[in-house]
Amino acid sequence: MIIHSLTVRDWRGLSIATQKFHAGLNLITGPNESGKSRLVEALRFGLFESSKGKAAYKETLATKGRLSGNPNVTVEFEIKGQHWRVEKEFLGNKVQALLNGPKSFKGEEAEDRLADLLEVGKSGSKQMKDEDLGIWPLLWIDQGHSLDPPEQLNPKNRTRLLDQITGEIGETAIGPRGQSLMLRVRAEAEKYYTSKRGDELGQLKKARQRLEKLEKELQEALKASRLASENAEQLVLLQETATDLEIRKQKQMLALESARLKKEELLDLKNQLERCDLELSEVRKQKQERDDLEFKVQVQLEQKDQNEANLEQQRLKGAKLNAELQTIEQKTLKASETLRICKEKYQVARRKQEKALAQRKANFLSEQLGKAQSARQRINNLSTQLSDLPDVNKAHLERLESLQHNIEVAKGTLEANSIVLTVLVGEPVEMNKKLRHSGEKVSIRFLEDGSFRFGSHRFNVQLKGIEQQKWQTIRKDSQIDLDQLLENLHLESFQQATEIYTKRQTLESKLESAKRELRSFATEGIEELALSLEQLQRRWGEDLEVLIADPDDEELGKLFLEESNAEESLVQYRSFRDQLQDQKIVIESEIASTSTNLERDKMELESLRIQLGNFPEMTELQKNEQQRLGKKAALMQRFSEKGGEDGLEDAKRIEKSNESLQDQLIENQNKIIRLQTLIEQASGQGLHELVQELEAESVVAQDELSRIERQGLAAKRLRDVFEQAMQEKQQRFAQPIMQRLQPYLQQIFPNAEVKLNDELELVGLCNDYFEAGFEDLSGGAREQLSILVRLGFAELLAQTESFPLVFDDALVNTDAQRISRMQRVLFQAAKNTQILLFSCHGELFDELGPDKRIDLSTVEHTN
Amino acid sequence: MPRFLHTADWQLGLRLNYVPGDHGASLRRQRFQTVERIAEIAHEKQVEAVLVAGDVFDSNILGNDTLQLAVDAMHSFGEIPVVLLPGNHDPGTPDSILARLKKLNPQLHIALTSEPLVFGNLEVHPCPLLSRHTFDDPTQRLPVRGSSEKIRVALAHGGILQFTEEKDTANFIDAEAVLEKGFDYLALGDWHGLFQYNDRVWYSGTPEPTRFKEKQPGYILLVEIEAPGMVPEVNEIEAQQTRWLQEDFEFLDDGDITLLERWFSRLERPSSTIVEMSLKGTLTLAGRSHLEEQLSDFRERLLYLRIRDEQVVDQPKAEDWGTFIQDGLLLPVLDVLEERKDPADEEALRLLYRLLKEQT
Repeated sequence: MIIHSLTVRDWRGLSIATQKFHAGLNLITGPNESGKSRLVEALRFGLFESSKGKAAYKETLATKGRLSGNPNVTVEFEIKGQHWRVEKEFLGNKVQALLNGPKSFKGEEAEDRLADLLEVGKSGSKQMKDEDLGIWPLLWIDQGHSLDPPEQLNPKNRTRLLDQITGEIGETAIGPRGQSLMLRVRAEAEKYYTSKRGDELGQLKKARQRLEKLEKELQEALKASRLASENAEQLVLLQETATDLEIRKQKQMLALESARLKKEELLDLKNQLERCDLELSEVRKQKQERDDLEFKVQVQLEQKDQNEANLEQQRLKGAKLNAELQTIEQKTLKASETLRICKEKYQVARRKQEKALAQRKANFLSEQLGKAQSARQRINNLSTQLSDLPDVNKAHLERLESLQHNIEVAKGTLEANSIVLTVLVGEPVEMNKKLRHSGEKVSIRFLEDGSFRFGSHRFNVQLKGIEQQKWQTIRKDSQIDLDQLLENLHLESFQQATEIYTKRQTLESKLESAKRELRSFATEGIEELALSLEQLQRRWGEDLEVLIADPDDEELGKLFLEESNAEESLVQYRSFRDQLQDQKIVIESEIASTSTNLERDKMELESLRIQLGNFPEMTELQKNEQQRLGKKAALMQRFSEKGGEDGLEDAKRIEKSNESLQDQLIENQNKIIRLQTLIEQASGQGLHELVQELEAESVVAQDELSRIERQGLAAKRLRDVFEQAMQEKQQRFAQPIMQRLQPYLQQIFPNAEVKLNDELELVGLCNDYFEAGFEDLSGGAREQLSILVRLGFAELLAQTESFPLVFDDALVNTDAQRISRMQRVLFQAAKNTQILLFSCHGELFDELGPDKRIDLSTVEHTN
Repeated sequence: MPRFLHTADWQLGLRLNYVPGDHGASLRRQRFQTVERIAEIAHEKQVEAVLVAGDVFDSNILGNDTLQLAVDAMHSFGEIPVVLLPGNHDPGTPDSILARLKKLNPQLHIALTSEPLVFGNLEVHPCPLLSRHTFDDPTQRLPVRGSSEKIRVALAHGGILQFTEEKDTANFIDAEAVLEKGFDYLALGDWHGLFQYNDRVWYSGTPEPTRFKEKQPGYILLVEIEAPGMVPEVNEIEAQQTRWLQEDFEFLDDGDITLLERWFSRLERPSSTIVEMSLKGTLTLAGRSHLEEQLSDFRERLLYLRIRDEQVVDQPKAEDWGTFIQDGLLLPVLDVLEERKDPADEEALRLLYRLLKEQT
């Protein structure tokens, strides 16, 4: 189809002369309000909208103004080689359409015929929608819609496109029934499995759960049923065991009876044996005792002989000792006399020497006492002197010195800052109670605030400086403290204090010296010294007064040695005598003891002999013992023959195992009762029916699951095969569009491919590295891609009939560089398809190279 | 002339686990009705005793309701003595169901010991199984004839020597040894099919089948012995109330489905009939769909229908798909499915067919 011309009158104020279009590339430019949009609108209405009716959307087409006619449009076009001209007037009272071509039509017939030619729906009084416009929405971009993706393919469009492709690739397309079947196949599969993870669903899931539940129940029922049978079998075994145990018990009872009889016999024998043993030991005891007694008599005899020999010896030894003792007694008496004489001589010499010593000591003590008493007299004097003086110590003096110093400093400072008031007396006047004479010059110095009297006048003087005040205070305070301290010490002045302190120092020093002297003469004190002297005098009395010569020390030593020797001899004799006396006592005691022992031995011997007389003779005892031994051997023999100690144990052992057997019997019986109860309980419960019922249900459930699973797998398989077939089909069907689109695409988006969905709709763009949905692309890319895809579709359709592409401001978001490339694409595409490119930016398309260019600002307006 | 009925393996309380729902329950009850039928025959033939050679019950641990059904069914024997022998399914263990039965109906002769039972001129020697797992020959302790002048019948349960098809019986019976001890007849149970070992040794088989693979089930035996030492006269009497059929069927094309329908329509009492049918051959999807509908119908009408159709091959024809074949999607899908590489492809084709049918 080619649009040859367009004429518009009274179209919202636009009336222009007929504009002719080229079969190739047409560029229609014009600034805003130049009529570009109205022209596109008129073309759309002329081709697709019915002239019938006055609906609101048509009312807006009217031109305001009294002289204006109804909106009118005329389009000349060529389709399938035939020329047609359609003229429509809108808002008239009836259908105002004329279609002239090989045939002429009027009114509604013209509208219908036109719709057939353009393959669109028949328009009534309502505005045409995209889905009614057949292939056209794919080819036509209205102003303001450049960013939209190519319109969704309406069924008619798709069919047409698919037919085209079918023709080209020689393959049937998936029709509406195929699509619908596909949906059913998917739905069928989703009855059994979730679409995402393929988990089991619905009846399949239920069937599996049911089977699992039944199998679980069946296992439990089988277990219970097996247990019931096992219990019965177990019971048989237990009953057999019970019989067996009973038989064994009977046998054991017999064995036990015989063991008990044997035990009694053995116990009797054992008693006899014990009695025999007792008798035997009695005989042996007597034998032993007799033996012991005989031995004791023997020992006692020997002991007696020994004691008699001992007594003889001891008596001889005693007589010898008495003789020695008499001799030593005499020697001792003689030595004692010698010692007495030596001692007397020594005492006399010794007294003489002591008296001489006492005389010398008394003299010395008396001299020392005299000196000490003199020293004590001095000390008393000095102490009295000191106590008469005021008690001025070093601290007092330092404090007084400090205060005196403060006063001096304060005075000095005050004096330096004092004022002197000098009065030259005119007439005689009494000044400070002292009369002053004319011409006399009286100076009064004020160290501090003060006053003076001048006649009857009294003058007060005040010294105002702060320093002055401070020093005044210091002086006063120090003076007060000084006076107070002096008064406390009972002193007149600081000078006196100094003097007394010095005096005290001197006295104290002297006192110390006198004390040292006293201590040197009487270390223990005078009284002690006097006492010592007195004692000495008392002891010696008058002897002291007669002086004697010193005794001879050598003489004294000789006398002392003689005395010592005599004393030593005496001690030796006495010691020897004591020893002999001790020995005499010992030997006398031994003699007494031995005599006593000897007496006792004799008595003991007598008693033993009496005891021995009470026992039978030894031969008789030995005979008895032999008899008892014979009897015991016979008893032992019988005991051993009857089984001995083991025989006694046998009964105990059999008794014990009998008890154990009885326990087993009871335990077995308990088990039997328990099992009987269990069997009683289980009987009648219908376990077998339950098992069979569950088995039957499980079999059915298994069949059901298999059936549903088979169906489910079939549905899944069918869906997979359908999806696969569909995908492959779509790929093959997209191929022809891609083929046409790709050369244009490469110029704008090198190495990229467009993506179409199974509805042949544009969904995005991709290359080796990225994939982007249409909505994610930039505005410029979207409108470029939108145009390119339309070019592709248009070329595909042009195989049978070429359709014009109408783009109204379709590249408003595209940058200059891309527009330049798009111009090349459009130029190439226009070789196959008519393109009407409307733009309000004519300057952007200077390089387009259109076959026809219309500048709306320069076209002739017919009104 | 003494006559008695020899039967065995009633397996009362058995439930066939492969027959679901009400049909299964009704088959279970059927066995009690068969007992009543046996009683009818016993009265009709005026027998001196009915000897049941073991497995009267399917298990010892059956419920009281089942036991009551048995009591009620056996009531129909009236005065005729019935000897019930414990078998491997209902051994004379302490939980014996036969012992429980005896408490409810003391008239019954429950052979829990080998004590001989005498009915007129008939001397019955039971060989009860007193444990589930007996490996000894239960007839081992049968006494030799001695001075007895009665007709001696031994009643036992188990396989006989050189008779090894039934593997689960361990207690093999030496039949010849039994006869050598002066017995006129050995009435055996355990083998579910009717079987004659020799003139005097018989298995009656179960009166009501339990499995398809059983050979000649459904009979009881009427035994007449004129005098000790005489050869018994044994007559088979059909007692089964259900019919068990096994059938193979092959389809050459869809048209053969009609033949199958005809076969089913000729069945005498479908509600008492159990059928196991193996199908093979090739069908279109339309044919297969039709077959399924028919089988579903038969399944409802028969007591039980088991179909083995693994060997039926679906061969979709172009006409199965109708005009749909023109859609661009179907051909590639069919190309894949018809290769049958995936085990689910066969079923997937059927599903596709069903979905298309539902769509049109």
